Amino acid sequence: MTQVAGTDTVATDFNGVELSLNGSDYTLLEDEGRLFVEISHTKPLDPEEPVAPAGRHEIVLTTGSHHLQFYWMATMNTRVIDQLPFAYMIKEERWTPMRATFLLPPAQGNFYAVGQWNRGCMDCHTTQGRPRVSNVSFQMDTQVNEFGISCAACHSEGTKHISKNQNPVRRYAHYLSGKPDDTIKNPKRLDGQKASLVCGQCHSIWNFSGITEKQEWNTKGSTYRAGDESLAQRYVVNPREAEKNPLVRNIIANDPHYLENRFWPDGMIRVTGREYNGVVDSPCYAGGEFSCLSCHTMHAKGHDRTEIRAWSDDQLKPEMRGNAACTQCHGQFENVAALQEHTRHQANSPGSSCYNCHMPYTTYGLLKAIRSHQVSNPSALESLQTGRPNACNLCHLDKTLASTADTLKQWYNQPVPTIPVDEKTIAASILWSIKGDAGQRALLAWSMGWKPAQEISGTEWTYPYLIRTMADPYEAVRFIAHRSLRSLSGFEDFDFDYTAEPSAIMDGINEAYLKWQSLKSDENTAFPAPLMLNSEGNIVNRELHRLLAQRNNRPVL
Amino acid sequence: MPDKTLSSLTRRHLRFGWWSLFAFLTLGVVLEALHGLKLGWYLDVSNETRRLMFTLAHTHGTLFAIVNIIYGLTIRELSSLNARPYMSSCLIWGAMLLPGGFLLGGLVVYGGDPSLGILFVPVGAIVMLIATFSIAKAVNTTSRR
Ligand code: HEC
Ligand code: HEC
Ligand code: HEC
Ligand code: HEC
Ligand code: HEC
Ligand code: HEC
Ligand code: HEC
Repeated sequence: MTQVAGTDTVATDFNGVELSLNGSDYTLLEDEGRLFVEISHTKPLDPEEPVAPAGRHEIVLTTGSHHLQFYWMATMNTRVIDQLPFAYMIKEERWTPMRATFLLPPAQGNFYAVGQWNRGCMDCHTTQGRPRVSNVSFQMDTQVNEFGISCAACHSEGTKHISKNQNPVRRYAHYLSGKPDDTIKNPKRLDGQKASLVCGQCHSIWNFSGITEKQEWNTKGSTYRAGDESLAQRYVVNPREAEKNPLVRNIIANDPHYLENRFWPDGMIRVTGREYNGVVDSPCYAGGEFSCLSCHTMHAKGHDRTEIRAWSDDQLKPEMRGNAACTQCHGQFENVAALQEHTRHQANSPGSSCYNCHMPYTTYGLLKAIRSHQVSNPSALESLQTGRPNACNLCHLDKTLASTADTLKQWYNQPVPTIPVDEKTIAASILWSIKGDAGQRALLAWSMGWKPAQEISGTEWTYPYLIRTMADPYEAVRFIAHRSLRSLSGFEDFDFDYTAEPSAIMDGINEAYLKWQSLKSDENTAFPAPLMLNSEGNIVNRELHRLLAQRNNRPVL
Repeated sequence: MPDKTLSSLTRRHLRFGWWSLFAFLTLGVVLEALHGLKLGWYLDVSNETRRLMFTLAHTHGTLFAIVNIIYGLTIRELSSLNARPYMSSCLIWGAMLLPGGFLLGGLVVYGGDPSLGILFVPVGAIVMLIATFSIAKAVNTTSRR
């Protein structure tokens, strides 16, 4: 959501914070409940870089409340707002350059252009926003109904509902008959498709159906209302239609990397906040009842602060954190014997969690891995064809893809695909962490910090891999590797600034390396061959360099 | 000096008034206890309507009980008052219907609205208005002693 900036809406203590970036200094100030930033430049500005002029700027809005918070400055030009180039990381309680919160190739500088909030972010981060961007001058008379994601976003507008229900007879007629009130929408009463679209109006990859629709949106905002069949001026991008849909073809003509930055090659969504794309492609969706509300609720039931806190993290119905999310419809697996027969793991094992096999952590965003929202079956083939880590190898980090393929053949009679040599001899997680694109590297760095994976795959061998991943060219990957390293014994308090200069990064890596040397036992261990470690526990260098040369260096944005 | 023996009418209002006062003060204590025990059924934000209904039942019940006592004493004080039977009935029914309506209305709530028991409230209010208006008029026309 977006909030008006003030001492009560910023996620941290603002006053007196001093930050610097690329030769500019930023001092944050509070003055009678209003927030300001004092900017000074210590070197001439690069005209290419969108950096705000020196002086005092008022911080007027904030975006985000769960993981990250961004801040927007007034520009004195109509309602155009500009980024403060820093974000606050809520859990980590630290400031960081805005660009270092994204999975971005190095040297992107300041991230957002002036007016980007008005042009794009507000489409999903406010209720009924109207950008009102002028097409003749650089002016924006932006308006919203509410800054937050408010009732009307999910229930349609309330004006008629309120006026009609001033009549008590009407109200009691509805209470006593239990009939739905047709002046407002309750997503719970909609079918799966329409209920999901209520969320999908924001939680999807969408685009405008044409220039007239875009212009209408610019002045009037969205004409979609909760309960409608389709997004009206917009459509949800389906990469599988890239060939036949001229609209999708058009996007690709403008941005050839559009699809690969958002979807896996088989069309499964790989970025967070766009769950609708995954849900509609799930086999369950065809049944007509499956929707976001199968698992999520938008109104916490408890009254207790801790209950509400627990809910606000992912906003799930409490009972839908486990297998009930699936067995509510696939009731045959409620039976322990049937469950074990299907999963081949102990009933209470994380290897028997439907989520872990059918919605694994293959989506990336907000500096973490997130569950895929497309229900799918794990297979070795998906990994070979798309590069997407399969659920088995995301937990069995120490196993090769070939061994997963063999087990899947034994257990589920899945055909074994042709498997290249490295995938037969080196653990799949290691190949993805070294050869993969930045998105794969981020997912694996995260998985090495994931408790269930650590428990079954061991952690002793992951130290050197995580430490070297802390030197990744992508800041976000470095951050995640450091966070996972801190989940390992001995490194709980290990500090490392993932946004520092390259030389400082190398110092940090060396320090971590020495610390690890001092922690591990001197005895030589014979590590299983797929872990690519020599008897001292170091990565076999020749192999490392051979694989690094094959890394997918595609810029990931 | 007024007569020491009480008329049956006075007795009726005093008896009703004191018992009713006892009942609604007890309700007050129960409400205090609901606060003390921090019962969600009474205190949760979503049960604000119930809280309002019960407090209104308690205050009106208490107030109307006292009004009945006062009426009983008024009859004794003003022996020439033209106390008609319907005034008594209205005063007693009003003192039951109005607070009782709030009480019933609050037992079940639909979102921000009380249950249909609330319909007793306007009836009780009308009856109460008739009673107070006619008593006021009767007092007006009482001859000075
Ligand atoms: C297509 C809709 C959409 C657009 C456009 C969009 N966002 Fe978001 N954004 C989301 C959704 C949905 C989430 C929640 C994702 C999650 O929690 O996994 C989110 C999450 C965030 C978060 C983290 C919020 C939190 O509470 O931690 C921030 C910060 C953010 N977006 C900033 C931006 C900025 C800046 C822009 C404009 C450049 C933008 N978003 C554009 C839909 C959108
Ligand atoms: C992000 C979407 C969203 C927003 C914002 C939202 N709701 Fe809801 N609301 C839902 C959904 C979905 C349901 C269905 C029940 C559920 O999720 O538990 C619902 C259910 C309800 C219900 C019916 C309760 C029931 O059990 O069926 C009421 C009343 C309601 N919402 C009121 C509000 C009000 C008032 C606001 C604004 C303060 C609001 N909602 C904001 C999504 C939303
Ligand atoms: C008007 C746009 C909009 C609508 C409609 C909407 N969301 Fe969101 N949602 C967001 C944004 C933006 C965020 C990011 C949180 C923030 O900015 O504070 C978010 C956050 C979330 C989160 C929290 C993520 C976290 O990190 O814990 C969940 C879960 C979620 N939405 C689910 C839903 C569901 C389910 C629906 C439909 C009932 C829905 N949303 C409807 C825009 C929307
Ligand atoms: C709202 C009901 C619902 C929920 C919840 C649900 N499903 Fe489904 N699922 C269905 C329906 C309906 C089908 C289609 C069945 C068919 O085609 O015969 C289906 C199909 C599937 C399939 C494909 C079946 C096949 O034969 O190929 C898989 C796998 C699956 N679901 C797994 C899951 C998992 C795992 C979860 C929990 C994360 C889940 N489902 C939650 C209703 C649901
Ligand atoms: C089968 C159950 C299920 C369904 C259906 C489902 N979700 Fe989720 N969702 C989850 C679970 C479980 C998580 C927690 C994932 C995690 O731990 O990363 C989650 C997490 C999220 C998050 C938070 C991601 C974050 O930043 O941690 C958002 C946003 C979200 N879901 C939106 C949606 C939307 C929108 C829909 C419908 C289009 C939807 N979900 C449908 C189970 C579901
Ligand atoms: C250890 C991993 C694993 C777990 C845990 C798991 N599944 Fe599966 N599931 C699979 C695989 C693999 C397949 C695909 C089988 C095939 O290729 O035919 C599958 C197929 C399915 C299917 C479609 C075929 C069928 O057998 O009906 C459904 C439905 C399904 N799973 C539901 C569930 C539900 C519900 C749960 C949780 C109770 C669950 N699965 C837990 C691995 C798992
Ligand atoms: C979330 C973690 C998790 C996932 C996902 C998972 N497993 Fe497991 N696996 C375990 C655990 C824990 C055990 C230990 C035995 C148990 O708990 O049943 C295990 C045991 C095994 C074993 C027994 C051999 C051994 O290593 O001791 C095999 C083989 C196996 N899993 C294969 C698979 C395959 C194939 C998949 C994917 C279909 C899979 N697992 C998915 C956690 C997982």
